[in-house]
Amino acid sequence: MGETIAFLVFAGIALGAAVAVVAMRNLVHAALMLVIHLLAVAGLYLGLESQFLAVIQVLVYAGAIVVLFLFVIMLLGVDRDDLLVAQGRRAVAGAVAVGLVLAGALTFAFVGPYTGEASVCGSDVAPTGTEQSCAGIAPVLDADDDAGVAFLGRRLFTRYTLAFELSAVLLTVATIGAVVLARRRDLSPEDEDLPTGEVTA
Amino acid sequence: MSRPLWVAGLTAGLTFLYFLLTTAILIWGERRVVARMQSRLGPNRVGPLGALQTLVDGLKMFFKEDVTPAMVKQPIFTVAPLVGVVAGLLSTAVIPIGGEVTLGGETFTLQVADLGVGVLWFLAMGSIHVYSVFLAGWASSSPYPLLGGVRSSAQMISYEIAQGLAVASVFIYAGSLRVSDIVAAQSGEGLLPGLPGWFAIPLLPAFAVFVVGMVAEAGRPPFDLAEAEGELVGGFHTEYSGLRFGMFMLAEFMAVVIQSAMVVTLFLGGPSGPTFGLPAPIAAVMPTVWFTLKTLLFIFLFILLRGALPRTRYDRLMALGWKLLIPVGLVWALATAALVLVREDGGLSTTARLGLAAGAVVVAVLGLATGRGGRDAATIGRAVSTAVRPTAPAATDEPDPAEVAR
Repeated sequence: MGETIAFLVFAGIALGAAVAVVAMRNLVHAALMLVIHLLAVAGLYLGLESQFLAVIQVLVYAGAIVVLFLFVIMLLGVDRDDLLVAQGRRAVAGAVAVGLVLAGALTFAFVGPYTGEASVCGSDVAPTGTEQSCAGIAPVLDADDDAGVAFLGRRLFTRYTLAFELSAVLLTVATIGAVVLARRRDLSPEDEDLPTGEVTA
Repeated sequence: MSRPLWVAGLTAGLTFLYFLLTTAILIWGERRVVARMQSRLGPNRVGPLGALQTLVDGLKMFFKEDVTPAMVKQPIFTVAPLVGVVAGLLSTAVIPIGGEVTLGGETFTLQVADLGVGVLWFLAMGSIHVYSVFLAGWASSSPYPLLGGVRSSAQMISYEIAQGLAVASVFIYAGSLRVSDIVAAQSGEGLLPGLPGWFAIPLLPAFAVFVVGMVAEAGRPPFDLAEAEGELVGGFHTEYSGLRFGMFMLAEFMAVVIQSAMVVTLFLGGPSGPTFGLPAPIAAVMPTVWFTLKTLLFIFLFILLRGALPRTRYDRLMALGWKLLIPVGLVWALATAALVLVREDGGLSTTARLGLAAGAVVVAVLGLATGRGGRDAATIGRAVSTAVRPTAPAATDEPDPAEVAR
């Protein structure tokens, strides 16, 4: 019962804040709504008995990544309200189309396999096709381990190694991409030998 | 977990009071000690040796006019000071301030919540604390507070990484994230007979990284660049007054106490210590006494640092964090992991272990001596300092903040 109430409260906050992130006109306010959303998702993780994921969510996403977002917003001075001007009809149509495709893909990948009858814990229905059977939180709770850290680590470095490595590559590519994009190309030849930091001033 | 509600409530209340009182002692002690270091008298009128001065100042804060400048961005301007205080108080929840005390038939464990992710909770609350300073600077709609806020956020995030790596060594060595397990792992004898089993000894580099990191995390001199009065007027809290200013002060001083308490818990055995065979009621309080003494030692270190060192330049601060502390923390976390693996596989003799440790220290020193070399700052430090440029070395004999407030 308490779990259901907690789920409803956190899910409501998460959804409301997520809508607010895209609806707010002020970028800083939008980023703060993102913080609230991330904290609410951390609450949902707690409801799933995963203390470790919840606290990492707060530490990494709410505590570091959004702070960096805000940091960039404030350094670039783009926190004025007048930045978001009305878009043309084509942009709106494109946004709607992309949104629908994304929603469809997510529904196909997650909602189908994880909401069928076989995915309900305790049911005897055999999973068919892409449907997943219930994994439950029993293995995590059974694992002799505080907060599921060791369980998570073992899974991450055995069964999900490929995904883990791929996300590492993705982050590296993103970092290099950011550096490449941020580099000034219009340097005069005599400035070339200056360290890059001096130039960006 | 099966504590009655009133026991949990009383424990939380006691912890709250303990940290507030220690904070008051810190403020009083700082003003007395810094005054002595500067050949002044310091507060000596209210109470014995001026000990009640903090209380009186706090009362004054309550009744001062709380001016809200017209251009600030509400509601963030109002919320920002609260975030800092609340995050600070929440992070005290996982710190054990003593052992078990039996009172009225109930056993009190003097720790509000022994979470399975204990120390990460402390780090997470520390990262929430960044928002307080940062949003205060932004919501003030004023250049100097904004610069102070931006500076401090970059500083706190950088040193959070270093601290996190230092803490990772502790996790790996103790094999648990739970605070009570970490404290228990430090009881008994250490590497050599006669020494306590404190993690400060086998994990000395991580300990050093954590101690430097905690000065920067608390935003204290010599790393108090967020509020460098010489160049930023007062930094992020320039536009604040009255009780809201008081909340920033409380959060900052409380951060000192919390960081000291955490370093004691992680590296100096927490509330453990000899009880000298004293009778039961006194022996039950001894852990709290030990914990308080150890914490006061670090608080004293904070005060001495403030009285003795000039403020560092911003790019140097960033260079220290990114080029020295983070690599040392990272290397030591890996070395700890290797040592733990070796221990699980049967282990080496104590001599071999000490030899390896000495070799590692030599390699680290050589690496640092050759690797420092450059005078250029860390990349992030440079990028930021272009925006947040001027940093003259500040005078050490600045008046203390409480006196400025008056």
